[in-house]
Amino acid sequence: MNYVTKLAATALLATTALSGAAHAQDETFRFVMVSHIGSNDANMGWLTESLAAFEEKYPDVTTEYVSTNNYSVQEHVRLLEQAIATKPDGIAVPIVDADAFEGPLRKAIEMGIPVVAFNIPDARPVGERIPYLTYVGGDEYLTGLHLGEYALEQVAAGNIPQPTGVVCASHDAAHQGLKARCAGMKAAMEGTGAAFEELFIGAEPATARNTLQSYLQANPETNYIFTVAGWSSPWAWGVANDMGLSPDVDNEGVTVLTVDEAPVSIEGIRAGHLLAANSQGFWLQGYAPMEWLYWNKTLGYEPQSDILTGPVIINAENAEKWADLVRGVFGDEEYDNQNTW
Amino acid sequence: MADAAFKPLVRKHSEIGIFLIAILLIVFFAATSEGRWNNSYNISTILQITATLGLMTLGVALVVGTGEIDISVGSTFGMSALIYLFLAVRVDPFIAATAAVCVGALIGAFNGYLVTKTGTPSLIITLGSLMIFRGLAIALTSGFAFSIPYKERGGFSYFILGGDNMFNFGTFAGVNTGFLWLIFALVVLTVVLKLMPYGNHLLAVGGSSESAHSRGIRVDRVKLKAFIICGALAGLGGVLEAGKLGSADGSMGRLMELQAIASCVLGGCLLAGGRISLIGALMGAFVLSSIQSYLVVMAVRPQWFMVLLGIIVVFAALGDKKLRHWAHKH
Repeated sequence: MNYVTKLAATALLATTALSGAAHAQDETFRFVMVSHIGSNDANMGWLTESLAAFEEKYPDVTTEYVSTNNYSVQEHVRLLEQAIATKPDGIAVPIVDADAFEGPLRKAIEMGIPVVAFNIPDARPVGERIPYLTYVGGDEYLTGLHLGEYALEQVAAGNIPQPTGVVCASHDAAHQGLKARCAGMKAAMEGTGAAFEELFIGAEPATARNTLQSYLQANPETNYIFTVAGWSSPWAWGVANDMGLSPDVDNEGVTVLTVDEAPVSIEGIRAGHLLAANSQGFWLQGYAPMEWLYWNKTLGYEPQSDILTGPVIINAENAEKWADLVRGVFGDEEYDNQNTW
Repeated sequence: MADAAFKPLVRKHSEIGIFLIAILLIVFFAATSEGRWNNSYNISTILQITATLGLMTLGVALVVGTGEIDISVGSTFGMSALIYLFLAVRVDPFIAATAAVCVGALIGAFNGYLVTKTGTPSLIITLGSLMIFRGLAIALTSGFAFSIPYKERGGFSYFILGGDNMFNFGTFAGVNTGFLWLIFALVVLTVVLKLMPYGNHLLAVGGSSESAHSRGIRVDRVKLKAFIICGALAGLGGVLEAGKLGSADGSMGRLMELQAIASCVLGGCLLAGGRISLIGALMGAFVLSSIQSYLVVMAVRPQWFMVLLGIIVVFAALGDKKLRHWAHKH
């Protein structure tokens, strides 16, 4: 009887342990990235590719990428609230507007959903900001600043002309990150005596070209164009070229700088049309937030500081390596499709 | 037998189609989303979106009823949201809301005056307004958002102006207070349309403005009032959305005019004028918000989102048309 009881107890324990182990193995997580980058922006590819790589490494995790091609803060908050409604195991979101995002994100955190900010942080001091786990992303101000400083190094080396007028061409007048890029460039150019202006050109090619052409006609001293999106750099180069302003990288005429490790930026540099661009580690900005969410869910890990993924300068010397990397992520066909030169 | 009873109902109530579509979609969404769509948090979000879009839709329905159209409501919505946020922190939320709604009404008056006095098609006039006030909104914000910090959005004024949910207890997420304003507007406008002379005049003008004029109805005045109410409702929607978000930039309300017009058409309003259904238009807004929400919670990629939304809307419109065709067949 005693033996039978012990056997039964052992069997029960074993069953419980095995079912527990099976349960632990069966536990799955669903992380949602609620992004401001839609499929009309080449950078979405970095994020979705990195999410796919993450899923490959962690088969117990499903990732979802939610965004819109018709971006507004209003729309983004709606997407965020609807994502929260699905009660995911973690959320990664850029803090495009802290005042608009604070309510829904605090609710999510109260519901036990860990949040990682990516690409754009809550710029307020740590004690006042939304209590997310960490921020993973670049620093937009440093993006502009480092590109400006790189340009001045090239001036000193005699490779490009001294700046006399700098225009920061932005496609979204409301995007704080883009304004920060312009502010960084402005800071770098201070002391050179060059005039600086931020110009809203919009995201529609014909309008952007017209706006830029009018600006360059009215401001002939402008010899640096900084486009804060990679895809608008061919428009800027095209306008300057049509106006006979010699926009290729040499010691005369106009110099064009841009951003991002997008094919259009890299190929523009390789062709000698663009001086430089930058990478803020977009691939990492997709992958790392998922990693932190996973570690938080499984190990209770909480990062102790923000994690900067950039910027790093892309120039004629390293553009080929970047091209290889991007081709490896996007594939040759997609890379060529995104090269609009 | 059932057909014979149902056909007159469909003929008499143009909104029956959208109600049937809504029921079918709700059943489908609930059955296929594994609880992601049909949970109180999500339904609460859908109702909040329906509230602000619905207020705009009610106004557009009135203008459509007169045979005109107002495609500037998205910009009016955005302007009012900005004015509310700008004033709420400087004076008082209620005064700010009143001022914002008045600005909405003024934009409506501007549209209505130009349409009635110049005879220019309302599509052109309101297209111009759409651009003027969107441009102003972008210029006013200069790339920054107008906002009220989250911690300062306490108190009854902010609460009742869309700032939070009511009836939220336990796991039930409640309903945004903006929904109260929608119900209030629906009741008032239904009374005006069904029980007051203005309702008859509005539909008469939409049916045939010449005929209405010959019967002594002041066509211009009826249209002007419809535009003013439309602007005021879009303004109120903007206030409630700003109250919810606590922030607005120059893009606030962009493209919402198209959703409002689609809601009206889905809800049984005749674009040529003379026939509207307020409750149908609201149901149209609910259906659009629900479809959008379903696609989000099912994590449909952005490149397919618009395509699928468009396809579902087209199918819903076709289904509605087929139903009405069937009802009118003897």
